[in-house]
Amino acid sequence: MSILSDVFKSTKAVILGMKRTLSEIPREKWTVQYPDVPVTVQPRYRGQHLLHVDENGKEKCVACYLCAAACPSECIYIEAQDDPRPYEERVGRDERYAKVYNIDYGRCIFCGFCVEACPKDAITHGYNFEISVYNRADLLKTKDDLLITKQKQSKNYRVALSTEDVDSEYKEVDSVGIKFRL
Amino acid sequence: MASALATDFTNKIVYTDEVAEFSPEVVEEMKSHLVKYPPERKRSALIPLLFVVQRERGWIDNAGVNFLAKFLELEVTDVWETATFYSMFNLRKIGRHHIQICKTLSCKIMGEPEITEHICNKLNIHPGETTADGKFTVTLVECLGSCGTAPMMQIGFDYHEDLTTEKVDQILDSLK
Amino acid sequence: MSELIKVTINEQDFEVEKGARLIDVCREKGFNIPSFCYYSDLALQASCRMCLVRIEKMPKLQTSCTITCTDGMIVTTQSEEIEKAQRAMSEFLLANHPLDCPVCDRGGECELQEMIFDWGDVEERFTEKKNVEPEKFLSPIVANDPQRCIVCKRCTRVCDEWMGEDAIEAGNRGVNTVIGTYGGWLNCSQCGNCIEVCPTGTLLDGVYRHETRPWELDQTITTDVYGSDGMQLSIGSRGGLVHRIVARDRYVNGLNGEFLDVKARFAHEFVNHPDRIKTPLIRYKKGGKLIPATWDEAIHFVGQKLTESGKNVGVVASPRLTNEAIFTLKRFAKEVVGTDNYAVSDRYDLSVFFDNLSAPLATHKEIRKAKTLVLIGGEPEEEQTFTAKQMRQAVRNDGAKLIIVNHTPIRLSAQASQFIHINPNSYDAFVLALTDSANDDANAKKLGIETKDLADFRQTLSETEGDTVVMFGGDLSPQAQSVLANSADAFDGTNAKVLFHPLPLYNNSVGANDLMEGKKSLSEVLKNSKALLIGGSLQEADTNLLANKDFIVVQELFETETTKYADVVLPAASFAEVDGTFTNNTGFVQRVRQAIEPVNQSKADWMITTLIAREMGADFGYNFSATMVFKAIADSVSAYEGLRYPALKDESKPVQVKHAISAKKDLSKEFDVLKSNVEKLSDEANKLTATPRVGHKLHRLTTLTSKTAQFHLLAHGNPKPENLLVSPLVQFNLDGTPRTETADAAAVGVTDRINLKVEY
Repeated sequence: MSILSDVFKSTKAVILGMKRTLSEIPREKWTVQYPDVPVTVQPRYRGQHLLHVDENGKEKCVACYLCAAACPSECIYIEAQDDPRPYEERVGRDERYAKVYNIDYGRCIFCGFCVEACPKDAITHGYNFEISVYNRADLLKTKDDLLITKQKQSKNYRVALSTEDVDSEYKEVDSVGIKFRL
Repeated sequence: MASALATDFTNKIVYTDEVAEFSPEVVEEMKSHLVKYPPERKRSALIPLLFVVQRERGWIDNAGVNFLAKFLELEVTDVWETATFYSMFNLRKIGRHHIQICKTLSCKIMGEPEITEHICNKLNIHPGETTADGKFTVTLVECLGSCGTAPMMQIGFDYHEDLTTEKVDQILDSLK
Repeated sequence: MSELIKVTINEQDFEVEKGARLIDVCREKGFNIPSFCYYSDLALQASCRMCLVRIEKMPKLQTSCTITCTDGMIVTTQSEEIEKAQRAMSEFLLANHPLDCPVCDRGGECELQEMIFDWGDVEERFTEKKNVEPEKFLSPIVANDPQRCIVCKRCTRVCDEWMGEDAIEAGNRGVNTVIGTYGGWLNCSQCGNCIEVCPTGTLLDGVYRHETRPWELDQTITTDVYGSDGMQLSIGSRGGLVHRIVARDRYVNGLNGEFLDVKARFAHEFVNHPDRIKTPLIRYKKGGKLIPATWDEAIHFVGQKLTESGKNVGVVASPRLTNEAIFTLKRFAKEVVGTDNYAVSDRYDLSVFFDNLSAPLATHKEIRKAKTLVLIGGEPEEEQTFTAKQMRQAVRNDGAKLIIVNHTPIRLSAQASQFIHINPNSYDAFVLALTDSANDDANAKKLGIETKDLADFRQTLSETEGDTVVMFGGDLSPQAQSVLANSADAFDGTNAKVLFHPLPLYNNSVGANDLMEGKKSLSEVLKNSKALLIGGSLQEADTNLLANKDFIVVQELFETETTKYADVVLPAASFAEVDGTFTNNTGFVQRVRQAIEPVNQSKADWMITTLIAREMGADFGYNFSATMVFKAIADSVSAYEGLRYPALKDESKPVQVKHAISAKKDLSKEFDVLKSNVEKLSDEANKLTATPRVGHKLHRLTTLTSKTAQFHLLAHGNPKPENLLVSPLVQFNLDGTPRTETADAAAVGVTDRINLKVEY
């Protein structure tokens, strides 16, 4: 092999490489400047939990403890309460609601079993993943932190990349949904 | 609808401790029923006595139940249990004329629904209800054993058979 | 022994006792048969039709709960045909059952839920609208959701057979059948046994309503703290809170089965009540206030003051305390103070009974199997509820003869084969008549009965073929009791064993009597001592004797009449927070187990006494372990000899202590007192004819029961709907219309209930 062909080959490799590099420069950039720029996540992302409310703002949770029973890391603590008032005055949708609903994010492994276990669709995974804190005790989130009405007001609340709702399983799947599912 | 009425009874009863009083003749009659059964099986006489109470007071009211419980040494719930089981005991106040329309197969085929609708429209009530003036109560009942002359109804203790809407009008008018 | 017969189940041969029920045999041999309505202690129903089996030579599938085994019977319990029938049955059961398991308090321990897991289909083929009934409260402590009912009628049978009250029945018929009551509320003693046996969430505990879920609860097997029957129960606790008490088979298997009464089951709110004494309290100056102090300070203060009082210290134990606490108090008196000034604050002194006991104590099983039951005085259906249940069943199911001697027509007298209705205060005359048949005429006159009644009574006794159980309560004078207890031969029948059954009032009356050997009467102790150490409280009537004492220490849970006189109040732990034992009225020593940590700063009673003793320079060698206390009891009390906690471990096999049976004694002194008492009685018949209201003693508010808000309503007379705070959907006005104005519904809230005036 002559030295000439070596030079030719390496020059070609550099040109090919640079072609790829240079052609990428004018393209749209995928890198997100997190945390300066907020990120969005996929619809099935499992972030901090949301406790849902019904159309009248009543908590859906009936404190059935199934999420706590399903939880493999035992991070959910609930105290139930009887609420004999009529629907309009109640806290929850049913006559039973969770007086205390705590999730210890120091233990949660975001497996999603609680969401699967919930018979009332009251708990789902939200999209907030920014739950790091300076104090370990702060990882214990109470009902006030978890309720969707409260989370919506917080700056950490984020939505998914798609239009697909979190509990789309129970809704008619539109074309967008199918696209994302595939 | 008639069944819904019976279920409602569970919750909607005005309960007091009042005990009904009957005339000596009626009490005598009740005692005559008692002797048919062994003395330790007094409660066997409950059904005949419920009929007596219904005849005397028009329906099985609270005071009547209390009386029977005392008379037969039962708990009120025992009387309640038996009275609610049988549809022929009226557990709410009924009108002066109790119209019982047969709703079983033969009558249904022969036009019971039209008859019922006609009567209810005429009296402006639903089956199981009593008119505002307290004259009529309409209930739908099971077979009254007069299938050959269907459709039919019973008012008080009288059978009215081969009914047509005209005939019903006639009967009801005669009662007013 | 009954003869054995051969039964073939699923192609396996078994030898079973003749007369055994097929469902029991199958389950015993390990063949799982589902059922709802079958309950071994109740009459047969065969309405759920889940227990179907195929028996050869019988045309259709048979309900195994109603079949008695016969020789050569060939049974199949599992086949395609049977499974199809069972699946169809479960589908019918669900036809009206709502899917509200997440809200239902029974979820997790619901028999229907478990059965549907095994036998149910995922799809429901019924498209009809389900029956909907409003959820309601039948009483302040019994919640009712009629639509969940599967009409197994266990509750109605329990109410009838166990309690004899018939308060709950099935109304209407067919698909509209509902379990309910006349008027919509329960007019009964509120025992809650219908809740216990209900296989679904139709009848639920109103005190525990929507508090937590069963699998979250730690179940601790322990003994009832109210009645002297020593009923075994399971405390469901979570995170230091006592949530509920049940006797359900799956958790506890005690002498009482699933039976409990209203107090045992519902009156547990006192354990975590905010009124509990939180720290030791010291009254530094007479007439001053009780001021919170530390334990060290309080114990030091008590030790100092009691040492100053020297031998003038009296010790009083409440019959509610554990054996360990009572024994430690006695040791304190004996060893630290060196005095015999100790007593039990019981209303009914059992010492004369046990001193003269001439026959063994009857266990509850023996009461159930006895052929003649004699009840003299007392009112067991109010105070010894489980004894009453056994009596009722013995009469009802096994044809036992019940003879009741009482001055009021108590409810049990309806079941009695002979009810001897005597004049008030004439029990002495009856006891005399029993031992001396010569003066029947005169005695009968004093009793206000016919002479023939006494002759009938004797005839029944002499004709008895089987055990005779004699029970008597605290209505009798001490002399009458000692004569009765010593005269077992008066009850001898043909081929009969005579057994005694005392009817004490408190959970550990018998234990207190056993351990406080050589005790003095309460008034004597209170009179003779200048300083007092009181475990538990005194009866309210006795508290006035506490005035003008130098120094009084009380170990209590709540501030009571007694603590008003106290100079130091030490917070004691309740039965749910300590380890120990209670001795019941049949002499069974049964364990009390710690369910939760002592609330606030409280300590077990025996530990407090030990601390005081240590401060005063005595060491009991307990090493702060209840086991060691019990070992000390076993070592020093002859009746408890050789017992240890491991021997008491199994609640299904309780251990009976060996009460000494004395020979026939010379009781002429007692007879003389009886005779003179009888002579003083007037000849006029002056009988009480009113039957006492159901639950008139059960609902009586004591320090402990008054802490459950619902009991105030119960004590006030049976609650009417207008007093109930009804959860959650509909509350009814008296005229039957649903109540819409919520302000009124909430008006009788918990705080108002407490202010209701209680009449006894």
